[in-house]
Amino acid sequence: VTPLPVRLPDDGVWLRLAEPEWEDPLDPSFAAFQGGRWNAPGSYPALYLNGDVQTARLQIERMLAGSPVHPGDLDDSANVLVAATLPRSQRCGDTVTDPGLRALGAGFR
Amino acid sequence: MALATPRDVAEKLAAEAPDRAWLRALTDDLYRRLELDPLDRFTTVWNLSDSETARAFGVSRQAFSKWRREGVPAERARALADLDAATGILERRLERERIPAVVRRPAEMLGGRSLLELARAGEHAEVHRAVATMFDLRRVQP
Repeated sequence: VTPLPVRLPDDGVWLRLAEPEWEDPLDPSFAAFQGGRWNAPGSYPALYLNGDVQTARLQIERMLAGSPVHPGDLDDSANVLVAATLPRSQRCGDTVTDPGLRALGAGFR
Repeated sequence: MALATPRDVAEKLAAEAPDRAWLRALTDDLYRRLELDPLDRFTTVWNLSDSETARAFGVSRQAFSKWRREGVPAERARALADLDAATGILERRLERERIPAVVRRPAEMLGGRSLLELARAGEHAEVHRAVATMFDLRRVQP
């Protein structure tokens, strides 16, 4: 797998949803162990971030899908948003465009 | 001088409260002061009558009345622990006044049943597991 490299915007801020009890919301080691959409279990540390508040909201809706809880039932303090910036040297792959997704190949969930 | 009724006090406070957050902080503080035991917490938070609570444990109302007087029997301790753990999660994640509706709402992930129906079916461990799963953010954002 050879991701198509992309350059991060200079002033980019990403949002990480977290539970208030998490000791380090920006710790990528859990995703390394469990895996996720873009990294297989046991592969490498990965930090999953949201590009904007709307995307973070959609993550909450996805979490609650099929459950008896509606987003409006949640307490305001149920989850927190943590802002994160990344160094310009951060290696990033294109997971948005068709060529970028083709470069990542199959096998991702 | 007669003591004002709880409803009168509540209406006065609601009218004078600066905002909803202030009222919530007040109720949270009062709630903590009650130091409810697990059985009381379950019935209060889920808004259950004695007969509904008895059904949730699969016992008669008479048997449940005995629990109130003498404590929960050891063979029911695990069921109570599961329901208490689920209740704790619901309290941390939901607005308290929404919990009675949520536990009575059928859901796809519960096989079309509600959390209360699961409890009535004796599936107390499943109630705990389901509640932990539905708020597990790691499922969607590891």
